[in-house]
Amino acid sequence: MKDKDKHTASFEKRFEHLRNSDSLIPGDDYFEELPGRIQHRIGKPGRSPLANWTFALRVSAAVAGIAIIAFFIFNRPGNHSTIPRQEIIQQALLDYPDMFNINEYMILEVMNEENDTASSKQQSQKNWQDIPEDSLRESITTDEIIDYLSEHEDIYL
Amino acid sequence: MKNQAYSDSELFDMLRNPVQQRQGFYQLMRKYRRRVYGLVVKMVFITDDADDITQDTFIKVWEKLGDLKEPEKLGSWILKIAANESLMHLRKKKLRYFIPLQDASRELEQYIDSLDALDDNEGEKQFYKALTTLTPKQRLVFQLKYFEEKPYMEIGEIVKLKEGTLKATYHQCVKKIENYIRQNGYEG
Repeated sequence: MKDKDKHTASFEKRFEHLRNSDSLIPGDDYFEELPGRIQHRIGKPGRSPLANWTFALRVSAAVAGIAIIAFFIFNRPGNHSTIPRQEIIQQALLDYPDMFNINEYMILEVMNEENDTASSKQQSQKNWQDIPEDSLRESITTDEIIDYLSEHEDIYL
Repeated sequence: MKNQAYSDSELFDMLRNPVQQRQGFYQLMRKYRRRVYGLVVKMVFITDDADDITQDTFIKVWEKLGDLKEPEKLGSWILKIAANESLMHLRKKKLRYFIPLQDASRELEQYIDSLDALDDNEGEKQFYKALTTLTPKQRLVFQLKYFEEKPYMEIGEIVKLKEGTLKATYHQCVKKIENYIRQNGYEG
């Protein structure tokens, strides 16, 4: 016998009395009550694993059928997405702001051009540089940027 | 109704027969309840958790009866389900509470210390506390070899490890348990 095996054999002998210990059993009636509790959980009499299996198969078949029908309905020719383009762009801006390289300078530039256009039309608007300092906020929220760019998608996107 | 325990092949036949299936399952629970609970409780130690896992194990056995093909493997098959349920429970617990192994072990040691049933048996208490320092997989291998006295080949089927790996793991567990017991001043 190898040393390793001798060692484990002596260990097993030393703690042999623990093999059949009942110290971790919750209560005296635990094992008597256990089968009844499990049977109660399993459910109504007459319900067999085979019945479960056929039920599961029927449910799966029904779900698969609905999925196939839905696939054909939604993929009919001419049935295109009805989500407005504006919404798609807004969502893209929300999801991928880095991709559009939006920064403060870009916003200022946009505001400037916007002011120029407006002043030429109405001849009464101020240049953006004339806007009082306190009305210029340090940060512009992402929502505002998105709203603005979405309204001017034809120019900037 | 027969008083002595049914053999695995008798149980297998009863479980295959729709008329006797429920009775067969009841007898199966009577035969394996102590072994299943014994394995599970020494994996998770907390008796309430062990009770839940034992019940879940038998429910899974009931649901998967159709998968059982060889009557001679009934016992191993049930223990395999119990082992998987216990490992899954420990994995879920670890993921849910982000408990590192050492903290989990300390928590279980405290729980074992609090058990009144072990108050008069310091050796047993130290032994179980030493078991908590093993990883769940080591604990499972140790249990199947030490408490269940299963041959390595059968353990290999349950835990999906080769015989050489199992032998090395078991030896490692024995050393770890001995070291723990020695460090804690219990000589047995």
